[in-house]
Amino acid sequence: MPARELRDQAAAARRAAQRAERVAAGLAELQTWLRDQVTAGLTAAPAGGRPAAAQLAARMVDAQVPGVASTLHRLAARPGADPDWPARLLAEYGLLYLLATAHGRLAALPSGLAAVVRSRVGYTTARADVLTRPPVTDWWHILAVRDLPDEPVPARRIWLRGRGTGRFALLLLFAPNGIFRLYADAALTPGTQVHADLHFYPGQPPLRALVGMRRAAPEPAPAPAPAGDAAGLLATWAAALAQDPWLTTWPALVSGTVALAADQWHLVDHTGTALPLLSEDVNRWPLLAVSAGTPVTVAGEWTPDGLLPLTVWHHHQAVRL
Amino acid sequence: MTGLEYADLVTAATVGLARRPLRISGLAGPAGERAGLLNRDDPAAALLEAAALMAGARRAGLRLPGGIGVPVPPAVDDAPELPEAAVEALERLRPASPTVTSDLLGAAARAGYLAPAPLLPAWLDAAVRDVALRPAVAGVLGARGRWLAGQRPDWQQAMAAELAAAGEEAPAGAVWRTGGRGERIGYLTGLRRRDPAAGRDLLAAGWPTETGEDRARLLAVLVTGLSLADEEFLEHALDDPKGAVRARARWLLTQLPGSDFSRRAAARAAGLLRVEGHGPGQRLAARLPGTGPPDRDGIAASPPRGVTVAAWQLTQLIAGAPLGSWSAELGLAPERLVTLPVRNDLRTDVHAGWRLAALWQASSAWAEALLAVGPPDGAAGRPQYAWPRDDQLADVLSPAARVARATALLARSGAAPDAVAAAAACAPPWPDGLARAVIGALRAAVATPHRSHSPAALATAAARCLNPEPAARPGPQAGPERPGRPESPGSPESPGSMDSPDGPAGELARLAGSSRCPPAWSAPLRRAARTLELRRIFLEEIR
Repeated sequence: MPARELRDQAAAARRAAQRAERVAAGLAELQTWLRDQVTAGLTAAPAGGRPAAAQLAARMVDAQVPGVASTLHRLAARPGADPDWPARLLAEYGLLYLLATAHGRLAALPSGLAAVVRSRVGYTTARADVLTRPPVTDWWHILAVRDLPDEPVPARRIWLRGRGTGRFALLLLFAPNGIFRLYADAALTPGTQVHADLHFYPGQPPLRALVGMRRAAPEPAPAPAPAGDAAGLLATWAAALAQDPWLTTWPALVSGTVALAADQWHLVDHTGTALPLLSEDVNRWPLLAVSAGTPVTVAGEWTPDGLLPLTVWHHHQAVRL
Repeated sequence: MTGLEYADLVTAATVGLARRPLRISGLAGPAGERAGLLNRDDPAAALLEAAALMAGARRAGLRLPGGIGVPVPPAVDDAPELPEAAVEALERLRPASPTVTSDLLGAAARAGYLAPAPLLPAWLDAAVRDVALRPAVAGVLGARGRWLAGQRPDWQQAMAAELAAAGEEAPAGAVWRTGGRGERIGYLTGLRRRDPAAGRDLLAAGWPTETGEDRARLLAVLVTGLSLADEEFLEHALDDPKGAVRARARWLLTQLPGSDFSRRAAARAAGLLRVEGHGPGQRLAARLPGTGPPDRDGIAASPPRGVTVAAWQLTQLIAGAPLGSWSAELGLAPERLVTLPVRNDLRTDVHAGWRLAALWQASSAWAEALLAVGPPDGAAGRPQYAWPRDDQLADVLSPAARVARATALLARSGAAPDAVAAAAACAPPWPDGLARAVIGALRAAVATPHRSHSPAALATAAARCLNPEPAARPGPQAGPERPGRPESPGSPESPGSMDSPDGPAGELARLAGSSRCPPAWSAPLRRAARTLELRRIFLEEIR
């Protein structure tokens, strides 16, 4: 092996070791901070040199754990009056503590779970490495698209489902300038399908993916069938949580009738089970207009708080909400 | 032993373990099975681990509510939703062109199309913002849209009057009782259109409790569906304490030939005018009536500046009298009467009376005659209430007379404001003769920009009213004339000889791009071309 290559390898190993050290130190600081929070009380003001969540988030960026930093950023921007806030905050703190503990035992974890922990902490996998993983070839139906323009780096989530495999997949695009149309994947809009190879990132359950070879250009697709019910959604969600307890967003494709009573929105399935419908930045009124007392197929993101509807099918037309 | 609930953990963490220590010996629910794994040495770590365990269990074991009622679906609409390409064209027009949007929605409703369900909320929102859009939106709601409008108070309020007018079971009474003035006017107008007697009875029932301003505004609504059945109520309003109410009652009664009011007016006016002489020397003589205190029919209110009380009386008496009585009494047609000189310099006062009468009685023949002869010199400076302007008179012209007037004005003065107003007052689609005059005026303006008015206003009117279709090509394959494209019979030009093959949109785009076109003019011309093209697409889709 040429000397230069050896030198490069040694340098890379040194950098990796440095990073591991920094991450370990950062997560240790995080655990101390979290213990301090519940010891002093969640609502107690920062005191005695104890940094606020936003300051700690900045330290986590320095410690090269961006996954933790973005969670802390979100928690620092506490919403106005939410009576459930302490309960939410404690859950998030508990899960962060668990993540730090798991990272300390990374070598002892099964490989799938270890990949989840690494990605949640903020280690990235190079695109090139993902594209060398075995492909899953299918007709991929574009179920929903969600833009997150207010994230530190504007992002777009594109949710897919394989027509043959029935597998869900998530394409994640980042556009620092907020312009997505430069990406080939940005042309994938709800109501189309594309025959392509998908390469899934390491981790469990496999969800995030990259498009490899496209075998045909995107084309219009019929409404996805079959859509499930609430029990089916909750069963896959529970199974997914068992593989990744830090999961907060899960693809949903369900059929139900929109019910609106006293400002509470629900999607009621054929068994009468009601999924709470979230709003966020989504306009839910077209959903009500399309449903109008009859069952409709809805694709969206399931979260611990309910379902964020993103697409509804009006006959064969996919309507973005 | 049952363990701690999640709420217990939250309480402990909120207060702080420093103040209230917590020993976790067990956890409730499925998390309890793993409670043995918790950190035994550090209570804070144990609390955080327990929170992670229970949060996971709660998320995975979520219980969803049942027993939530779903809405009763509205009746299924048989009519189809607008085709996608038509909707796309309309959505591009909608933000900037509410009038064109109204027109196209009206055309869609007549062609039997409904709004696409996903766009109902956006269109209802637009109707909330813009009162003028409401009737058009109401026309394409269908059962689904009407159901949806009932799901939100702002939609319901905006559409209530329209739905009531369409005979729907909207909560009509509420709008009338609690709505704003505009909504009440809208509701009453709808009711009058459907059932004039019911509208009048509704107005009469609450009449004594309305404010003076409301009485005046609501009374004016009776012009819709006006008939002799309203006479008694209007006579009653002639005694109203509020002047504006009395004035509107008189205005309405004047429009009712055969009413007692017009008989009184005709009797007062009888013998006021007479014809003297024959042939070219023929002229009119007017007898000035005596002046007295104002009577309940409104005669002898104070005259405008520069007009004598007697002359103003003359004007008002003529204004109140049925126009048909003049031809009958004097034996001459209106076109002839308006050309005659009048003795003692009273021509302006006589014409003022005729103009007011033509306006109130909506007489196309008289308006046409008066517009053709033009205002006498003395009319300059008279206020509008005493001397209706030409464009007001043009409002009562028959469609054909309107088109003729606009065509003549465009030929004479190009894109001048009065010509544009005359053209804009012609209902779309414009007949070929008028369309040619409009295109001609636009071409002339662009050809000689320094001597012309800006064509922006004319282009905007043309965008709405021109038939957007390219002319049918002459030739064996031209086939029968398309419906909705009135051809002026006897036109000296062969059909479409002046039209560009890509229709008026192409013609306007070319004008916008021509080298002579001033930069400030090309934007409105281009906008008009785009509007015409989108209209063409829409109308073709719904044909």
